[in-house]
Amino acid sequence: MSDPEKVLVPERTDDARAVKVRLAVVQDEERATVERTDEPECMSFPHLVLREWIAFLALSLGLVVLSLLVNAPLEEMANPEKTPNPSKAPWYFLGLQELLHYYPPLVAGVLLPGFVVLSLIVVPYFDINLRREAIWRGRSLPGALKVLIVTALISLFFIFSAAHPVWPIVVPTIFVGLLMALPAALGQRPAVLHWLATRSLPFYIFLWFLIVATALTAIGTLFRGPGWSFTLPWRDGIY
Amino acid sequence: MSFLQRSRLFRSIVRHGLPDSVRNRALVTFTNFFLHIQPVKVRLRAMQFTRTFYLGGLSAACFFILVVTGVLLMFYYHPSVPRAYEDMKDLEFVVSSGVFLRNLHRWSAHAMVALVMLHMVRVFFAGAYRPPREFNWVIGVVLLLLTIGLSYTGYLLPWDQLAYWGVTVGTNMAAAVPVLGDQIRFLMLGGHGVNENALIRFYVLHCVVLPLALTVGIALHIWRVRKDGGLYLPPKG
Amino acid sequence: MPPLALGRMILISAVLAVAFVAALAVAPAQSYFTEWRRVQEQYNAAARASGKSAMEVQIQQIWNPTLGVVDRCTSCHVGMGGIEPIPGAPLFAAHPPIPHDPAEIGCTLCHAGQGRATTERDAHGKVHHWFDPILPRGEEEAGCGSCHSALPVGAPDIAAEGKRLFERFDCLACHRVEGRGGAKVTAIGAPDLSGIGLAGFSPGWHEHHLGRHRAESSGPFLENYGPLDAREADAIEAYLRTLVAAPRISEGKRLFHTRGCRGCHKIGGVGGEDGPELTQVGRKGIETMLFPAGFEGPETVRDWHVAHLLSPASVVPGSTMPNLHLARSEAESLALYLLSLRRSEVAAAYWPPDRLRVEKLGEREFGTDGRTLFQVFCSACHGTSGEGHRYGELAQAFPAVANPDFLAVAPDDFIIQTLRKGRPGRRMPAWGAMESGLRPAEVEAIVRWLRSREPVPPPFEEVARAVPDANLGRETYARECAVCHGANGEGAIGPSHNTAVFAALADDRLLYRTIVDGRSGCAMPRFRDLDARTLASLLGFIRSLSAGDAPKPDLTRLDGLPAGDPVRGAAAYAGACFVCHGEAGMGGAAPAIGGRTFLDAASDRFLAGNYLMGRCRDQKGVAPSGGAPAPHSEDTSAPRAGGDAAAVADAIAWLRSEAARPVARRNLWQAGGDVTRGSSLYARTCAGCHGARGEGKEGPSLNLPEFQSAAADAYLAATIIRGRRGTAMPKFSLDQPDFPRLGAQEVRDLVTFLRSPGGTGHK
Repeated sequence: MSDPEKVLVPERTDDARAVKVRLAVVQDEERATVERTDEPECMSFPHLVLREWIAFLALSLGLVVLSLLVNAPLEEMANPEKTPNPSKAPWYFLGLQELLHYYPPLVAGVLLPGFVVLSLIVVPYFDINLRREAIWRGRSLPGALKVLIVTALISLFFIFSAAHPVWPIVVPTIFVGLLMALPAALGQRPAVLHWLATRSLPFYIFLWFLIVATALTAIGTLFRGPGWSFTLPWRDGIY
Repeated sequence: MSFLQRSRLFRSIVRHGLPDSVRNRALVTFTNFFLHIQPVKVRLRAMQFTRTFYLGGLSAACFFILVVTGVLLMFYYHPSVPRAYEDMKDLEFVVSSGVFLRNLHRWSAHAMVALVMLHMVRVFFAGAYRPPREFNWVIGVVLLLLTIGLSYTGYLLPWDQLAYWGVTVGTNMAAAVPVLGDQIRFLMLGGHGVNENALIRFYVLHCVVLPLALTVGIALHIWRVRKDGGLYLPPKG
Repeated sequence: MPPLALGRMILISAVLAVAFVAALAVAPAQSYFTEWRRVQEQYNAAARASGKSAMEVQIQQIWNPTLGVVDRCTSCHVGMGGIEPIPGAPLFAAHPPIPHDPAEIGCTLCHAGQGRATTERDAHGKVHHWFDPILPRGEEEAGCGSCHSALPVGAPDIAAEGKRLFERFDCLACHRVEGRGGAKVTAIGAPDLSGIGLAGFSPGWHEHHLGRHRAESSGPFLENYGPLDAREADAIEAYLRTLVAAPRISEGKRLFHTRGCRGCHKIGGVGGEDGPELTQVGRKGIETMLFPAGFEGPETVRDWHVAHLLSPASVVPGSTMPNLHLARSEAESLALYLLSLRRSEVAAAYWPPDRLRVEKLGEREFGTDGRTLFQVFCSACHGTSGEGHRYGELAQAFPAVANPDFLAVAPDDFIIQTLRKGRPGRRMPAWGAMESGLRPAEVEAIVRWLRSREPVPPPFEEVARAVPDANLGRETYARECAVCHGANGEGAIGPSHNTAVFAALADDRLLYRTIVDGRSGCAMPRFRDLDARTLASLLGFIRSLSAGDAPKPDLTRLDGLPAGDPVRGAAAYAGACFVCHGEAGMGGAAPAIGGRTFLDAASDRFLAGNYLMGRCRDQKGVAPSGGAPAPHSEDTSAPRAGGDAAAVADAIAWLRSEAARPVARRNLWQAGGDVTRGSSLYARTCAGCHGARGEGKEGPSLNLPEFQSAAADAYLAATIIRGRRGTAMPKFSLDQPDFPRLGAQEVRDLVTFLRSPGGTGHK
């Protein structure tokens, strides 16, 4: 792009209407984050802009149609003397509210969410396998055993630490533990096992967190009724 | 068309020719305030739909819809008891398209929370949180919290049973913080219970403080995406 | 550059853009094509057809910021809010005539529903999360209760009498009441009285009518009117005050206030606390009601109330509300009244007089005579006339408080204390301690009414005229009097009356009064059910007891009795009388002499004579200890040592002044028996019904502090001696098949045990 022989001279004119343009030049290796690439590229305008516009329109259309068809909920006026049963927070807090069923408010409402937010923030700063190396290189029975023991310990912790066993955590724990242990125990064939084996440890940790959070939220939203009792949405409706 | 382009007014606004050449298309991108946040050129891999599902962009789009509908709703809303609830009823029954506006705002808000969460999941699984983008990930986490905060403060404003008890349950959780729990709750609600003080507090947070913070945050977030080398793409091969 | 399908992308975005704009355009269209717009266009068509001017099509509303009313009902019910009505068209007609202007107070205050809504479904409140739907047809009257939270119900009995008189005197000839009568209304312009109770009337109405009656030479005033006596006029006024233009609610409210519902249920902060508060029960939504399987009839709020009133426990399992065995029509009437209990917070500027009177001035919406109060608060348990009640579903029977035996032995003080402090552990609440209970004057009114339920004794003159029968006198004396006064009037629990001094001092009137009125501060009950002949025989027999006594005493000493000075008398009483007759003469070891009824009947001469010339023959071991002056000597011949007529007169004057003071006096008479003997007697005789520790079984409990503090020794003694007819409590002074006969000393022992720290008295 840049030829040291040729100097770009700005166009000079007295016409106010003339557009003056200055092109900046990025010099190689000035910023570590900019790498030279030989990949196929295209102009943002119109290709990217058009795609973004389509995405925006599709989203808006969807939301508009939804808004025309479904009314936002509005109940009777707030009445401090009339506690609905159950009283539910918005859906994104129902995972925490579900945890309240198992742990005292300090743990479920403060320590656990605080811990999650904190670990989300610090995760890129801890050198936990930032290279994302595969967890297994080949078969490793001791490795599988180790994983299963850790899984069992975590499961036991969540079975006995709370007022009643925290199944929404225990089941995903066992599930993820099995996913991790399988390729170590059985080798990397077929391709699914290979794929599992080449995932990194952070992948599994985050997967575990994701499934747990989804399970808690889904149960809190769909399967809980009066007195936080277990209900079936297709039988009793959603509270 | 060319006459239009030569006109003084047009040239005072748009300072480039038709976007039919690479030069002019590049100029479109970086002379336009709204487009300059994007690079002039993108790698084709980065443009694939399944790469990003446009989750970040759609989150921002939701925010845009929310700002537009939110401002319109503010014309009809009084943050006081029982006016707030009566305003909901008026929106439903006498304001033209009022119920539609409220629906759009409500559903967009839910969509935004979900989209932001999905965006975060996508970024994590892509590994895009790793250096040099680690601080942008932190900003992203803050943006998620701001989004939830916006949604939660807005949840109280209709002043119906759902709002009242949803907020009561949530703020009671905050009261469980050791030592400072009650003070934190008092700070959140402006009192010992959910009442008109809490309503005005949530209203100001929802309409002024949090949207401003989110706007700045989004700008910072996108700016850093550019500065950190654009969209993260896994190394080839 | 690789192909990126630019054309297809443009096409997609164009299609999406068009779809987006189209979808967006649906929103305003949705809010344009509305129900009310269609209705108003129909109105305009109908208006043009009938030559009226068309209205501008827009949302109509009644807005009253004082009341907080925003009612858009008139967007469809066009004729009720200022637009010219079209008669005959249900939606466009005017409101039927009512005392209020709908254009001012709106619709929802009376009719309920959702005023801000503009679609029928929402406005009528038949939607999820609107818990106050429009009142159904036939129950519109219930809406009045929203503001008229305290419609006057008066004294139901008097009002009913007034209604009878109103009809008998043919007032309906001219006046219209609730759609009846008024044939001559056009002739003289007599007002419709259906709502006169709220509008109020001139206190001189009767004089006005009577004046016209005298002045006219013909016409309805002459033909249909005539003089009334004061009682009749009062009754008619009481009836008129209950006419509030809502006859069905009034009827239900009258029932509510005669069946004692307030005894358990509070309305507007007045009533008992056993049942749920009903101030706003009319707002109770159907979503809070459970209809049992096999519920008869439609599942509506009204039918739920009716079924619940007819049989509480079958609608609400475990309900402790008794089944009042109402007729269906009564239950329906009561249900409508309950539906009308829907008090709203309306601005005080709009408060009707009935609500202002009750809620601001603290007046009662019901009459405050004893009879009405008893019906309002007590009748559900104690029966409409105090005859007591036993509900099949409740283990406990409610005492017959108008039982003559009870009233004969219970002093006012005891009833007042029980009403005020209740009987904890039983269902009797402490009416005087509750904010929502009875006021002191009301408690006294109830006691007065109960007293009026006692038999009326024959007047003294009739007794004086009656011919005594010696045998009858002897029998009656043996049955009723001997246990306390001794077989020969020698005295036991009660004083002796067989001495010549007594016979000389006490006149027949005093004896008569003491027998029929009892003696407060003593165990002497009221014998009001004896007829004139029996009383005369009794008096004769009492006189005959002293016939064999010493020669007639010399009463000249008493002739010049000086007028006493109450101030000096206090010291004289304290020195000579206090030790036996107790504080203010309310009894101690000796009978009370400070009671008002006794002092009213007893002359100074009698009192002074008793002191100066002696009274008792035998002190029966109640002699005071510790250096107190000896009681009056039985020596009737010599004047008492130290007897100073002036000091006696002072003491009497002081006693009278004390009795005149308006303070409640406790009965201080002490039984003075033996605890040990009483204990074994109790175990043998009483424990079977009252429990080993007085905790109560079939019989009432005796060990509660409230009962112990309200019931004096005298009340216990009199109840044991007299028994209570209609209950299982026997008359212990007589031989009974299952119970021993108790003598005076045994009664003393028993009462002493009941009051002792080791007995039932202090637990």
